[in-house]
Amino acid sequence: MIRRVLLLIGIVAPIIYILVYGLGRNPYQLPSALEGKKAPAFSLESLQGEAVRWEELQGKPIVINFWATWCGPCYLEHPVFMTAKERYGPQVAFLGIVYQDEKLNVEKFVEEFGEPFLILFDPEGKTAIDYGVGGVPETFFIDRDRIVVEKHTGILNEQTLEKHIRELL
Amino acid sequence: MNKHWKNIFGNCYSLAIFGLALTALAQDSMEERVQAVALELRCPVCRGVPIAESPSQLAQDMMKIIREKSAVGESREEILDYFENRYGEWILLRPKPEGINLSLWILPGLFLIAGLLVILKRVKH
Repeated sequence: MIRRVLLLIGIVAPIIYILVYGLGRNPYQLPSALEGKKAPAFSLESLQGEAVRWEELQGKPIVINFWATWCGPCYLEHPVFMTAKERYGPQVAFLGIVYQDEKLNVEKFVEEFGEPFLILFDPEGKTAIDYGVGGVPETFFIDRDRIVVEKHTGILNEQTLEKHIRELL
Repeated sequence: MNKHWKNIFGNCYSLAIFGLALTALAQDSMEERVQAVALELRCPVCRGVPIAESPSQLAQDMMKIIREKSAVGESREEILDYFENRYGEWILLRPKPEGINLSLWILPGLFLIAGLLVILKRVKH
């Protein structure tokens, strides 16, 4: 009898563990394969039409936000980046890479809501794919050695953004 | 002279047709390879489908990258590694048979054997 019970526990317990582990995960959170690795380099055009090369961004830690004007959560976190830029602008480079969007839409957005970061266009989505982006908003925190320290999927609130920036400084 | 030029023209024409046919075959073959690789990659937007079957823009962008990489001669493994290095093993529709993933291959067989043993034991009694 005891053997049967132990056998049953031996079979059922791992299954329950796997179910609890799997169901406890956020299905929308894509794991980042880049954390701890060198951030991919890129050369993209800014909103002002200038070419911005990765090599030119040396010296400061970098926060890269992949966003779009059609993205609701991006609207919500926009003021958070505006505040962060005012507070940490001299110490951190803030980049906003536009994801699957049109320049005209971005210009209208910036005119209305302001420009919290250096806006860059990634028309074929290659940089987004290089960073393993699955949707927007996604934010990457990169240290001075150009290592991806953290990837945040979804809206950033002021507290979380502040925390990640402090870790870079 | 006319016959001579006709021969030259005929040969050039044949070569051109042959070249076009070879190009078409190579492109078909490359597109088949592209599709085969794309069927092994999960769409990050429409999670349950491969990028070859996903209508999302991201999937189409990923297909373009596969085509570019195939065109320069990168192998299936190199292309899959490229995406895995960026998205993680999650992006592969077929997990690699290593580490804990081995359980996906071993456990069903073990359960089958255990089940058969239980049935045999009961039948004997």
